[in-house]
Amino acid sequence: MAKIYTVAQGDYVASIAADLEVRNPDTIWNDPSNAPLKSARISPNVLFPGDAITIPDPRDRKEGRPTDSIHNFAVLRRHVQLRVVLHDAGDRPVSGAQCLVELGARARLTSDGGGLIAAEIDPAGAHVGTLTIGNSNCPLDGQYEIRVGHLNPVSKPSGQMARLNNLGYRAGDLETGALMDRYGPNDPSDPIPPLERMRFRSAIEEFQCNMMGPSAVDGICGPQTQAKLKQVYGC
Amino acid sequence: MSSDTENPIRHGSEGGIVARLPNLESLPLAVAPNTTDEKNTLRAPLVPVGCMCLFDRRFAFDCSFVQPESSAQFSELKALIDELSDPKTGRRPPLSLFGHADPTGSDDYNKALSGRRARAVYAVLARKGPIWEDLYTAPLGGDRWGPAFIQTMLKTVAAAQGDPSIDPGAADGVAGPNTQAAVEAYQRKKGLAVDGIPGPQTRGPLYLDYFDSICVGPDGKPYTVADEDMLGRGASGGKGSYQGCSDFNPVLIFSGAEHETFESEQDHADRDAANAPNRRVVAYLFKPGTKADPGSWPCPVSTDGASACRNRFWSDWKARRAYGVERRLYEETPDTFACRFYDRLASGAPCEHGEELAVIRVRLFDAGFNPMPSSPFRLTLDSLTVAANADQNGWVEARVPSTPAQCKLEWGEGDASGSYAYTNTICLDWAASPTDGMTQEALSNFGYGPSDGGGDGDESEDSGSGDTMDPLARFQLDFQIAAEDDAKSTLDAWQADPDQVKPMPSVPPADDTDGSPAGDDGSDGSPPTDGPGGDPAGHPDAEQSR
Repeated sequence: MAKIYTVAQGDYVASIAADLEVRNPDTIWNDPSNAPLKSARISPNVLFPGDAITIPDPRDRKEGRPTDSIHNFAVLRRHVQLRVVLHDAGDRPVSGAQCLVELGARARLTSDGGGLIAAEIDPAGAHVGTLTIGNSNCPLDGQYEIRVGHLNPVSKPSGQMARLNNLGYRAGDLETGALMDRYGPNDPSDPIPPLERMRFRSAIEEFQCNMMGPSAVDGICGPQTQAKLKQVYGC
Repeated sequence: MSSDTENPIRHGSEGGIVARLPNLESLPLAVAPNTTDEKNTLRAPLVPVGCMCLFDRRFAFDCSFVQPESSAQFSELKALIDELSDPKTGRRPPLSLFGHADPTGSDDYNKALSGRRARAVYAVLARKGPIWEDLYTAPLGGDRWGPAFIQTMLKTVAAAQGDPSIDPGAADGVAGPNTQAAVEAYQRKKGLAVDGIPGPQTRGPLYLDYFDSICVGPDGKPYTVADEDMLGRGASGGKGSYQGCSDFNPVLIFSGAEHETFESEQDHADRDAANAPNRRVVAYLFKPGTKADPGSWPCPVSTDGASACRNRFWSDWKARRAYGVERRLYEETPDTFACRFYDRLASGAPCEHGEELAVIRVRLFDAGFNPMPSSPFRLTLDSLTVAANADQNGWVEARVPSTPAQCKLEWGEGDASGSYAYTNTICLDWAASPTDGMTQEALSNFGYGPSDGGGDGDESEDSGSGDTMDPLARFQLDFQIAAEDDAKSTLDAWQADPDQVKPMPSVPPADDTDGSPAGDDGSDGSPPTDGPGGDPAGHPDAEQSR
């Protein structure tokens, strides 16, 4: 009997698969009952808390081997990467930055000519860790708390906010983003201070102005702005 | 968002603000894992870490000339730069200057004017004499540089270099013999052709000496902020390093009612004084290593028009710039800036605060109670001295920080040494007097001071019988009135319209040869006019010294 799993903040398909001991995440993602979710979320790495995902029943697999000898069976686990591109304030890639990714394991990396660092990460391991950047020759130097799997879909305010933050627009903290997912600006019980809404809107407007031109500025992250944000951010 | 554990440091020298910004903690990065060639992008933010604000009175009236008193802020700025430098690499926090005008006049004119002040401060920091020469030789509207600034520069340099020979005396804007002598001495000192005329050859080195005199660190040594320590790193036109924000980012917007009242007044002095907080130059210092990319820096250079600024306006800029039901202060309702880019920089900064000024209006009279049109005067208040000429009706008008209780006023042509004929200490705070109108202070302003003071200018005439009488009695005698109530009404009427009510001296003093009343100079000290909603004396200063 297939299970329904409810996505929590920080889950992604590979981490769900690892937690539930499903060898291949694709068996979850490609299961026909997940087709509507797949078409809504597009990427198995960007889910939204509350999403219902079907976990198909494990299937028996039979392997025939002769007796009286030793056989090794290795479980092939899909590897997952954390890929981060570093840009300076003028949107130029920052190469040669010394980075340390600590997510349970530690990985020392140097950004390449395109500003890219790519760290192998374990979906069964820690989601929250640190990223330390040094020698970037720009104000990126510093230590950041990094939350893998916490990037929400670009259609949600929290996902827009996180992408804008990472792009240097400082749109608001992640907790405010989660509240914005729940409360609209016209909701009478809206708990979000007007200043925080203004900060978010100013980040959207600055992004629109920089990336889509002054005529596109309306402070609303509609479908076109979402598409642009996703393209500029990279996922 | 901002850390509460570290309060911004705010330096309290009057005339400006120099402060650290609250440390912005890095937000956690929410990122997606990647199984394809998708990526997460981290882009360096533009993070201001410190700021400086030079208030309106750190500049000459309506002008971009940077006053010598700015040295207080420049000294604090040097301390801040050192404090915010990277201790490991020694890299300094690059800075960018933003000039702000008040919301009167056209946007383009204000853009140019605010840009001139930002340019002028940039020139001081980066020692760009030619920029000052350009400001000097190319006036714009009321921003005209003249002889008074040459005098101010010479005087300041004389004090800094300990060389009295180049001190021209009072900076009265009149190029008299003292000024000529000082210019000649300066020219000799610099090995220039000595003609006593402060031409371009003389002004060039004088600007630089002046910069070195006012842009001095806490250690007393001149310092510069070189182009590589500016955000725009010497990009042409000062792109990224200095710009004028026109009147787009006021820290104060009048209420609609205030605006209408101010505009209905023939004389806009009250409006302009109330608007003083908006006229300021703000410097933002950024995290060491920050660079502005000239190609993507949103602010147009200081000499360009304001149209490119509008690209950065908030989508609700019209509501932000409108006069509302209530007066709005940026510190209270941070919705007064039309420029979104600047608004985001300023967020959380303690420097977006101006200083309200009060207007002092005093009418000058001679000893015969005749108004003194165009009379020279010198008004002295604590550290501030204003020397100029009264208007054609004898009115003196000065904008001063807060409302002082009193000021020293000297007026009228004196002898050849440049002294003034009359001196009086003018009480400006009548509201604080225990009785209204007919008080010692009012009489004193009229020249009926205590018998040992008051008429300094003509003390020889003071030796008559009036000298031993109390001020009220002398006043009553001069105006032929007996009762105190009558004296009050006469005083009030005279104050309301001094051209109509003339004193009627009962007995001309025997030794009075010119027919004027004995021993008194007349002056009408009107109560100071606060800016609307202005605080009584002292509050703005108290604010700054927190």
